[in-house]
Amino acid sequence: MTGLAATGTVTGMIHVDQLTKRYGPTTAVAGLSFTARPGRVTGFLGPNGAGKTTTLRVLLGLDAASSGTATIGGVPFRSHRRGLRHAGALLDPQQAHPGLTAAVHLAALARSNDLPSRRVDDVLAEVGLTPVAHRRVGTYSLGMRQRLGVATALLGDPPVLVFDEPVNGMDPEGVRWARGLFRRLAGEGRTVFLSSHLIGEMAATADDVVVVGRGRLLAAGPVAELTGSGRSLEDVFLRLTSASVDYRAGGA
Amino acid sequence: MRDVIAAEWLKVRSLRSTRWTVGGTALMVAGSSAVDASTNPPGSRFELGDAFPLAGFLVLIVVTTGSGSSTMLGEYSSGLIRATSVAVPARTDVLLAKATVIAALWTIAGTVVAGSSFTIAGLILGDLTLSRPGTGAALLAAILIGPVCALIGLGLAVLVRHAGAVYVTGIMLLILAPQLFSTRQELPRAINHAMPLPAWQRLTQAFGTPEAVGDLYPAAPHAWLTYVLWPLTLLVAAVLVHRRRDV
Repeated sequence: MTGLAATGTVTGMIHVDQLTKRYGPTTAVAGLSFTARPGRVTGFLGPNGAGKTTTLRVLLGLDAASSGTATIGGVPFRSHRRGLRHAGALLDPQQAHPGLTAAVHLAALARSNDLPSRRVDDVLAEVGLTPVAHRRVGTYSLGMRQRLGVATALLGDPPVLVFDEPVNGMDPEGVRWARGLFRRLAGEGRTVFLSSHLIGEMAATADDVVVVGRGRLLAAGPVAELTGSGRSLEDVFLRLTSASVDYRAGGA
Repeated sequence: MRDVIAAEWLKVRSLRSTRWTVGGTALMVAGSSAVDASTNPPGSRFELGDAFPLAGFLVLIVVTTGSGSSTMLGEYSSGLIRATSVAVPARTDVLLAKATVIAALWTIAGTVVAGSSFTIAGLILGDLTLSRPGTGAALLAAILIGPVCALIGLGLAVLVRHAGAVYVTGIMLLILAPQLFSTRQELPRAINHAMPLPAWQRLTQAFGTPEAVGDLYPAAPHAWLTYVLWPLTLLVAAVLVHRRRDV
């Protein structure tokens, strides 16, 4: 999965450089730069409204950057005609038609990328949805939709995986399963880029973290370095983001 | 491109609503044709107008516009557009695949609908023949109004994006606009004649020399041009917008 391409860019590296995204008068991301590397789980942390989802949307070509770049393996994701072999993404649990079954949803996506149909069975088994594969997605719980989203991301066996709040709505068994899966995917040499509010979960899963607030980079580096001298990742996070929290209880 | 067309076809054919929509519409049009033909005064002969009754085809127009628009609106409202766009970053391919699938579906369904409504009217009134002048064109126009409206609906869905506004715009454009522009004065008549419904009426219900048809309907070549230009223009606009827009 990893290796140096001819351009000197590591295959599967996520590279965000001076990225800015504005929606009308609102600046969601302001000059953000960071890198996520193959073989590692990189956590993407920040309070609500920090610009995490926007960054992921630009990275995957759903939104256009106002300025700056976001690339996967050295190229903008939208330069690919078909995407699933290059990167997989779970951006929102709501990303399947409620009237289709999970099997058909995945089969259509696989077909659009000329992937063999056995990939559908493989990823359904991987996420544990095989018994409910022929039920319509509209009947799924939030946790099941998250698993379907993970299955969608894995479909093309890509070197890069991007997950936005993947364990939201999962039960404790699901959270533990997801943690093991993310570690394993990174162990296979893939880039795993993971946004979450759950600091404890991130401390248990991530090798590196990128912390953002109000669209700007607050800190980036290995978890072990940030949490040196006995501080918890939560302490570090709260100290870093204390000036970037938009909504706080008690009016403080 | 074939891969994305196959994917879009799988989505459309797997939705239960597709079967209900096609089946229900076919029954409505055939029923309306049967009612029209059997309520004609006794002794009246088979007329093409009975084979392609306005009431039934208004239903077809509304349904196909909705069907075309929902292939895109369903993506927006369910969030599927995110998964689709990550799978196929070449967004034009997705839109053209949807256009191909929805046009093919309603051409086939339209053939069944128009064919059965023509046959039913012919059986009730007798004197059924394809050799009368204008009959072939009428049959073709009745078949193609489905894909034309489905493509118009698809284009509007991309351009307008909000379901309610898409349906209102579609019905305004296809059904109400021809009523609003009178054919008695020059400018309103030009607008009226550029609308898809008068084109369909011209081709399926009004026959004869231009003098016989008068100013009520556009000329036949003009009507065919309307069939081509409306979906084409909206699709080109939709492609341009969809390529640039944040999804």
